[in-house]
Amino acid sequence: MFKIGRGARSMELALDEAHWVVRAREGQEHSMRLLIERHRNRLVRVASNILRDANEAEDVAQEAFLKAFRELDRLRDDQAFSGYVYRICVRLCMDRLRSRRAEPAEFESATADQGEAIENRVVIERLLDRLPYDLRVTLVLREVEQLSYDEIAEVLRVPVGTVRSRLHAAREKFRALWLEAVG
Amino acid sequence: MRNPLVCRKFRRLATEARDRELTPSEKAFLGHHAAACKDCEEFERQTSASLSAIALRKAARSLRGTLGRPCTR
Repeated sequence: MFKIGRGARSMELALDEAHWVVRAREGQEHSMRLLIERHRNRLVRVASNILRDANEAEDVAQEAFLKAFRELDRLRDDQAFSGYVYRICVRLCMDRLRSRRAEPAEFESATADQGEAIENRVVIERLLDRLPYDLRVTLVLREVEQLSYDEIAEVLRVPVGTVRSRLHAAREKFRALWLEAVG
Repeated sequence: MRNPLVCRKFRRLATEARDRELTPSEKAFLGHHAAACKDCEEFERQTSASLSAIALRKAARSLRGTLGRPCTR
């Protein structure tokens, strides 16, 4: 899961990474930094997509690395660090969403002349924010992160059938919200 | 005449088309049904437009990344 790519170059990168993981497990800070440099942007991006908050995304990404390094003994395949830290990051995002207070479900419908604004990122994020957190995360992982059903199931630790039903529900709800906003 | 079972199949397949390559017969079914059922045609258009809006959101992020604008913190 989450292999860097195919071919000799990707194998080389994976072996580099496995080496860094071994060194990081021994506490070598340089290897930890290399792992952070390689995966930081992806973690910040997925956290930002889920949480919609750049500052919080940075925090969660850092927290994910700390947790990953602290629990590095749990990683059985040293070439699988990418998926390992990614899963930790997504779960931390879900924890944050759960712990957030329920926000008021206020949303003023856009008027006709605001129709164009529906493509505005802020508006879309407000629509996403109105989805239940498990549906939102599933939708973001599929539509934005473009993970497969199997990958989403693995990250969220739910059966593939659950991913399918959540995605179906999320798309339906999002479509309804979008229509409501378009007017 | 609108058949709920057929419409349900259309909507399921129209959604699945986002996740997998449909078979030629499934694609043909979608085309034929959309031509005959305005509700389902509209459903497909709305679903596609709404989810494309999420993709545009992603594109905006990618562009921002390409331009190298720093994160605000």
